[in-house]
Amino acid sequence: MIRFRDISIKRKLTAIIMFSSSIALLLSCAALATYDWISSEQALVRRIGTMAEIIGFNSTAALAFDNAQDASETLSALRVEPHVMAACIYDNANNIFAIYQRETQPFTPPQTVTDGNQFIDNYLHLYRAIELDGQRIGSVYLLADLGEMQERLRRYAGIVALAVMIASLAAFLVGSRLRDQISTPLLDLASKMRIVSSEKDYGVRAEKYSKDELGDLIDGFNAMLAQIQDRDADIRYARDELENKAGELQVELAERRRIEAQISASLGEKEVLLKEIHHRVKNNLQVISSLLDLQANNIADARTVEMFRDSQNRVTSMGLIHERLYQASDLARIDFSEYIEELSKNLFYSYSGDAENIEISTAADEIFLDVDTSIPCGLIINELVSNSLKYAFPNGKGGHINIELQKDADTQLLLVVRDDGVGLPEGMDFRTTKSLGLKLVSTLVRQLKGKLQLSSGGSGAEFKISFPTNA
Amino acid sequence: MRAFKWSVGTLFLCALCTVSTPAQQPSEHQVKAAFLFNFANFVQWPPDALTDTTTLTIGILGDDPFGNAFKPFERRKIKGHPLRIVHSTRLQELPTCHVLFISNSEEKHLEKIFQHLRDRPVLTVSESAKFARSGGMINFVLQDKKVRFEINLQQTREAKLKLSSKLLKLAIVIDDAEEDQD
Repeated sequence: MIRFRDISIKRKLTAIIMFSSSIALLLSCAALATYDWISSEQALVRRIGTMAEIIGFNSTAALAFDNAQDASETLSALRVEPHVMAACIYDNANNIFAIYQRETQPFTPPQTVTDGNQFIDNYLHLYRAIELDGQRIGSVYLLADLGEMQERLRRYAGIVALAVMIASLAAFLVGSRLRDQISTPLLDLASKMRIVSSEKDYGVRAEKYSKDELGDLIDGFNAMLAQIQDRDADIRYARDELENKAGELQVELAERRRIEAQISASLGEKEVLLKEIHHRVKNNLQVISSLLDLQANNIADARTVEMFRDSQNRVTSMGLIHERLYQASDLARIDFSEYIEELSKNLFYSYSGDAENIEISTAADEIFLDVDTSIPCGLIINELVSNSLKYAFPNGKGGHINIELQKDADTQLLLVVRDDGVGLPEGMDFRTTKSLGLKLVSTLVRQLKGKLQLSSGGSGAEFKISFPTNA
Repeated sequence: MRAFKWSVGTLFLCALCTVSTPAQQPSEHQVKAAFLFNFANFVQWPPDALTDTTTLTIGILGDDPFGNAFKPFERRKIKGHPLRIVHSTRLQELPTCHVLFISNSEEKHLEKIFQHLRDRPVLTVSESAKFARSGGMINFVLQDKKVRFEINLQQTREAKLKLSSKLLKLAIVIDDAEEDQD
């Protein structure tokens, strides 16, 4: 069993057209028939009523003068009216006065008189009063057959049935043309939709047949397909673009990698080169130091020997920095605390003959300094410690030399070199001294853009140098 | 003749019961009194003889055969006119009547009476055999024991009375003019 909503639109439309036209026709025919029935009933009542009035009027004398025969004759005029089956005239006491009957079949006149009209079993029973001079002198009763009306209704029904059949046929013929107006675009649309969904071909377009809602639907469908196509094109374009970009990026990446490799290779070469340079500088400085040492051995003057030793220590202190530089993983900076340790040991051994009883202690934070800062800083320490070792503890006197390096503020370092020796000679100003060492210190502090603070007395000397660092 | 369920005899029986109750047969004069009353309904008097305010008078001349047969009609009106029934044995004593019943006792004076009433709109009624043929207008006769009446149209025309065709239809019409032609 196929349900109505599942049958095809074509059949649905046909069914709707035929069904609605039949219903409309049936309803209008039923309304017409009802109207016709009611109006013919009313017409019948009017006609039979008029007849009753005429008979009543013509029977007044017969009733007044007790002439039943005359009344019967009056009634017999009803012959011309085929629907009147029977009639009666009653006198004032409701006794039957005269009677008329069309058919031979038995007729029993009603025993009671009820004024008005009654429709009973396809018969119209109609009673009218007979009056003379305003006085009721009797009644007339007419019995009318509704056969003609029924016959007409039957004919009506037949015509309606025929009309419904013809109308249905006409509706089918005309409707199929009209129906195609709706179903053809829909079926076309449906087939196009199938093509789109099965073959993924968004290039097809449904044909537009009309400018109604169906036309709008088809326009919408086509517009949708066009949009899908546009979007597909956009997507394809974007994808191509992306692919191009990706290709470019890959080329670029390869280039970068290559450059990076080149850079790291050249960096490695440079590192090697730098190490080599530091190494050579250190070696050369070592050679200079050895040369100075050899030269000093041939000099008798103690003061000159001391000058040579000072120079030798200065060269060594620089050489130590270069050694540290090529040994460290970072070629630009050195761990300065370690450097101070080594430098102080080196100085201590250098002056070991004079300073047996002197202790050197270092206290340095872990601070890395670049070459530009390390060299002046190292030279400063070298001068100050050498100075202390040479002059602070005369005559084999024992004591302490203390080297401290710490972060003073964010970008400030504080270098303190202190001894508990005899102190500097009184009235000596290190800015104007003729001592090369202290001149150097002053110059180097300036080079570091630092400040030097000196406090000296009986309990020793203390140099405080604060300088900025960019490390 | 059509086959009625009710026999013709029964019909006649019923027909006789119109004026009175079915249980009691009306007497001949009761029927005639009713007829006299009803004649007025089917007769048209000249306007000057019966104006709107006139009392319709039924006169009985001579011996009164009706007794109290008029009693049912005494307080009734005819065509809006009050009804008066007067009786006298002498014509001169009667007022102007619209309907005059002339009793059989006056049969010998008919000539005189007709003379007196000549050209006056008085409907004369009697129950003597030759009344309608000798100058009277309506005369009661018995047919098959039923009261019927003869009408002399010539007389009613002369008296300027117009009789309803319905009345004439029930009557035995005697036309002097026609009889002359015969």
